[in-house]
Amino acid sequence: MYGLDIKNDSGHVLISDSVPSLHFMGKATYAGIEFTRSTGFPGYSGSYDSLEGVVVYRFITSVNNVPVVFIKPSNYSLFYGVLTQRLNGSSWEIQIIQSSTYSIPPEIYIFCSVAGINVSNSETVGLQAFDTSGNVTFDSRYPPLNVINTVDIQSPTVPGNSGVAPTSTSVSSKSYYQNWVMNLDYDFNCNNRYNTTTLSSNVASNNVMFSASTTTQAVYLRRKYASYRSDGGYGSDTQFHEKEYKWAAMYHQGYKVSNTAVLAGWAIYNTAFSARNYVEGDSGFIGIGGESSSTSTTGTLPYIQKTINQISNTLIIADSSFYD
Amino acid sequence: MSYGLSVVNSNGVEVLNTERTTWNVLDFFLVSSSQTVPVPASGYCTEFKVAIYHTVEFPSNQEAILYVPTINGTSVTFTGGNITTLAVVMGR
Repeated sequence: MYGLDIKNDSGHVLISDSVPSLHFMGKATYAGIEFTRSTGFPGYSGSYDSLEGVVVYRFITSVNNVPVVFIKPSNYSLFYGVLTQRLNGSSWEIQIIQSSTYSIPPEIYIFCSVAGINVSNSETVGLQAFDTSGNVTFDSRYPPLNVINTVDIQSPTVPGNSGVAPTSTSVSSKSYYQNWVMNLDYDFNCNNRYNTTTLSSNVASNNVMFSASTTTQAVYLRRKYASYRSDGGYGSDTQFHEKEYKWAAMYHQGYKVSNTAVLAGWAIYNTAFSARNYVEGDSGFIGIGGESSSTSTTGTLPYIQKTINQISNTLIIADSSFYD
Repeated sequence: MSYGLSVVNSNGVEVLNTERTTWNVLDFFLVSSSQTVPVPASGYCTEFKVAIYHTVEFPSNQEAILYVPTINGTSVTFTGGNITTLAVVMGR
């Protein structure tokens, strides 16, 4: 028998020669804003066109194995999440999504096993554990991850503030064709739509940071269609008129975290708008005329209205002051 | 703490003690097909979790379904996805 195995009162492994610990390596380098958008529907101006917006930040870190990312929000009233995490060459690229157009980046704390740490440390005091191959599994010179709390939580299925999915409506009416069809009547904002789990911790409110994979996406669409057939008059044929307007938003999961609660909600990742107008051809009173049709589309929908990847994620909360 | 282990650095700052809790990274890999893999270090840890992440921009013409993990004893099964998924297996 040999080695080292230290557990807490709950039987959880803290230090082991067989299990690599998570250590703080440093903060990721901020590489700029990827994009800011979703403040409205492109190409549309009218009711419910004012949306809360979104910012996606890019960070880079050089780690020799996978980094575990902790987000320390710059504004605790907003929703944040890891949008993508991928290896690009020898660096890890991390995209962070944040609700609203507020544009001060969060701080990203990087944790990884000792094998992944590529920064030196001159500390000569502490404790190291090695596996049977001589690899370091724990090294107290790099602050180990101290978990304050864990929460299993998922976002509500429908992101819109009403909690009700937008619908598709078709009406045969001249007055609806002239006015109703062109005006959005659904609030795509999602700032008040979330699930909540309360928690108790003695972490200062401005030191809370969290790690969670943000898997869930959603696309929701409001479609309005109106048509009518006009009188011909003066010997003309009747004409068929139709308009189809569509507004859509794509959402991505986000979290709002404090020292008393975790909220799993949404951020608006992108928006799209489409307007189609069609008037049937008419030989007309003097024999001229023709069909008229136009379609204007901005943005695309990756899929039809639904929420996908909706799983309960484990959110890990830690105290950033241990590592500052 | 009245008993247990406390690890301090040369400045006397405590970096870990046995009253605390943590998670440890057991393995990480990319998943691009349904598969079952053994949970590493399953004989040492009593709790596990698998975090999954998007690794690519969202495609504009399809649903980006991640491979969802299910832990069953000493193995984890990934099913249902259509895009490469980064999986990080943690234990404690």
